[in-house]
Amino acid sequence: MGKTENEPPLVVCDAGPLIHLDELGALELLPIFPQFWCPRQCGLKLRSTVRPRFPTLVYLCSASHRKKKVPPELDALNAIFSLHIGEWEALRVALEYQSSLLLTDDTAARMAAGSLRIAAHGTVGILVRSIRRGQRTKAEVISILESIPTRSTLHLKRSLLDRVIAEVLASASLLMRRRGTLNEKRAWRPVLLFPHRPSHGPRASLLAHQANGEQGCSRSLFFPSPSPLAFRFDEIAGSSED
Amino acid sequence: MSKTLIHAELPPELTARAERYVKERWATDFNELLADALRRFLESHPGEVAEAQLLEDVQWGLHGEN
Repeated sequence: MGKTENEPPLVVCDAGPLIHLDELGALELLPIFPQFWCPRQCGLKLRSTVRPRFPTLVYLCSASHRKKKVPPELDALNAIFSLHIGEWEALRVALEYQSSLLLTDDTAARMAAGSLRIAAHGTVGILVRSIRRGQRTKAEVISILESIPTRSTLHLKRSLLDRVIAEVLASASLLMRRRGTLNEKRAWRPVLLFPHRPSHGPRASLLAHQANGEQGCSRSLFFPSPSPLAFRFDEIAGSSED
Repeated sequence: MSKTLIHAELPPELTARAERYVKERWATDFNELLADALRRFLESHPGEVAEAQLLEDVQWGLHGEN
């Protein structure tokens, strides 16, 4: 897919996304970019881990770039943001090649990229992009996002991660609706919540089953009562509203 | 100004560089250098900006053109 979509002509990446995607078992999302460069400083750090599974990765030969004069605006930003050598090199190359895309997870490097009008994204962007590009399913990406705190060294506030996941869930559903891959009528039906009491027994299960089938609910859930959300299951099951 | 005593583990080469920096009198002492480095990092990596960047990533991932 994607022949009609715009590919960035060149992707320059510092070590962060390579390390984080590798930790998350999602490194194969990167070779889809036709030209993928990584500064040598980062490459040295990753040669034993990332390199064997990313043979198309090109390490930049710093020497050729070092002969060229450093753009003064990059020098100034480096002083302000105290960029690491890998980030600095990646920015330097991205600045040289117009329309290149920088991949970094460093806030300061992204701020510097913004000042230099270089498009920049990070690990989470690559993961979410894989849904749009058909590389991973929404469920797979949600699962990877959920595993970030335990499987990777990418620092992310829990509440922010939850918000990211919620946005992906909501937007991905909309994308699927647009593509007609979901039965729209069924997809937007509410989930019914049934308070579970032992006294309801098989009758409750039967009504839940009928509610699913006859009223078109996508699914039903039982939850323990008492609960502030509890209501009488027979009222729900008896409702005729679709 | 009140101060808090902390215990930190640093890579030896970084510690050596910092000590050399102080010895050359570019900073009053190690404490001042460490406090200044922390302040600069926190100023150049504001949490709100990181949050905005991440949400921008999500939008690019879902709706971007490349």
